[in-house]
Amino acid sequence: MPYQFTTGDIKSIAKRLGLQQINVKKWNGIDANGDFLQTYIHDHGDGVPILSGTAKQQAKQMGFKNLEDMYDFLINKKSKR
Amino acid sequence: MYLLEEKSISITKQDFPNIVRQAAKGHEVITSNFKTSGSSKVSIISTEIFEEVLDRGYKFNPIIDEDADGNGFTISIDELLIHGEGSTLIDALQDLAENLIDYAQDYLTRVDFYRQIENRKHHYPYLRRIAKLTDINQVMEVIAECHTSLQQAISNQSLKD
Repeated sequence: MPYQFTTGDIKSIAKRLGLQQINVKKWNGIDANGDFLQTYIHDHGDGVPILSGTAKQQAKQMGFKNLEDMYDFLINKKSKR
Repeated sequence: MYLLEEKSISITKQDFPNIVRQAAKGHEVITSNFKTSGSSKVSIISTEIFEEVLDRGYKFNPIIDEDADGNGFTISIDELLIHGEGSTLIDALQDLAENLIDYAQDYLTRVDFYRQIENRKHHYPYLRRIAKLTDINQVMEVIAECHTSLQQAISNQSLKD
């Protein structure tokens, strides 16, 4: 099943993990497990879809097993890793 | 068998000008505090040789991912947990190069922090390679050095310019 994310989704995931926007594209921070995470988000607008390859990289950079894992985290607001 | 010369810090201090001359010729000297057990060793080595080692041993392996809906490209370097994106291949490569320069600047400024992070401590030699480059075009060429499609994209862009 293909998973589609928007810029707003990725920013929301990053914020819930404890990442902060460092500069125009770079977000980083320490998550609840004490792991340093760093990713890059092009802010084309919250509703704009993320490229499929970019979403895969962002999932990896934010410590998710795959896109499904990141999607589950997005839709389950209480979910913790 | 000891092929490498090790000297104490005090001997190194006394003989430093000579050690630097020898290092420039290719002789590596390793120094550490012999009086403190577990003291880290430091190599004094020619920068030219050091950079040759990095250039030969730490090539980038970019992976191109074309968007499923045809909206652009993502280029990632998995060994550095980094990517760039753009509507064209050359735009994605330029974005990746910008991100890599930004990461290298931050990493080398806070190297003691990054060296403590298990999945980032091995990034140093790759980012040290980037640090010696003087402009974004050189960074793009280094990323593309082992990737024919990216070399072609750079070449096509040069023809347009």
